[in-house]
Amino acid sequence: MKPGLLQSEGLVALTLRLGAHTSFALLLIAVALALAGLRDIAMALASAGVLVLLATPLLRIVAAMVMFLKAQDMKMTLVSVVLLVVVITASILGVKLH
Amino acid sequence: MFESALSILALMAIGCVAGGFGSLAGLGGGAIVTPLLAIYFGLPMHQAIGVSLVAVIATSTAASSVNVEKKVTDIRLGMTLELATTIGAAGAAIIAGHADRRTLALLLIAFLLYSSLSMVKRAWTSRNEELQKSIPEYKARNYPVGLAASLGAGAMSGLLGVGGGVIKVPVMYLAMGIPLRVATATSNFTIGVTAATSAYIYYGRGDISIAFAAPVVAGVFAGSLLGARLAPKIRSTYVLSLFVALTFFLAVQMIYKLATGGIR
Repeated sequence: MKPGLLQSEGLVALTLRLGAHTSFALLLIAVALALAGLRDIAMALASAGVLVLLATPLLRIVAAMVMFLKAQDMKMTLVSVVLLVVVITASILGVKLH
Repeated sequence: MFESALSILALMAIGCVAGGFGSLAGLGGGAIVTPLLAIYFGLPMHQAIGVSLVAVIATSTAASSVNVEKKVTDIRLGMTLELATTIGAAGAAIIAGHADRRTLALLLIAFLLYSSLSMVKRAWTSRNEELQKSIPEYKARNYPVGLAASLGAGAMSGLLGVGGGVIKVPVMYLAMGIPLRVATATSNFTIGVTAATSAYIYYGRGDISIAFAAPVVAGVFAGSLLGARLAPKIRSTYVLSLFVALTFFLAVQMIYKLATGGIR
């Protein structure tokens, strides 16, 4: 095992792949519908596609946290939790500040 | 609301180029999306940055889903650095909300020129480069330097809608002793969470236009798939040279547009 690399990155890779594929599929259909002139339903699917993409990095942190917890890597589990708190706080703060 | 069919296709093409650079050279592509939208689509700077952030998340997600599986991404290192990139990104995104378009445009021009010049060297040295097949053993060192650079890269991301790889990759490679391939993959991995942090703030402010983001992001995904297929057949020198030319051209265009009042 290379230093720093994990034995099983399965859950993280799966989260990223699912997020990418779902978002891509929704956006492709949305663009096709928009080109066909079906603007309203296209817009709804486009919003869903963008939101799935925006949620993916957050879910990726949760996936990594679960993975580190399973591997009993307490230091990295803590890093994941802190990261999650930072990202969520930043977004709430950012929106509120405006 | 969606624009005309022609502009939808043009936006997809922009995303496709950005996604292609992402998977071919590990370049975020954000450096291209923000200026293209501001110059040719007349999108206000804040909205151009917002859409670019979403495109950057897409590049990172698409590339990382492959890189993590191939075990070239150092997840531990990446997530540790993310502690700094996210704080930088959040701070910068909040500041960007109060910055005027001229300041953002000038910063973007400086960033484009820096990216262009820094890649000239990499394009030149990669002429006879063999693809690094196996990853050598390594141990990350100089964490304070890496974290400081990550804070800066995160801030750059939140301010300009770029990935910040041009800062992180050299620092990881030269100062932290990370092999180049791992540094590139890990930087790409961290970009997703970093850009997402500022994207949430831009979204909350109403600076992410779905009508623009949807076709660009669809293009990014298509471009990354295409890039991954072409990667074994294209020399990285050509890709990097094209990137240098494009970013330099966009910097000049931005200067011209800013001087003539064409940047909203």
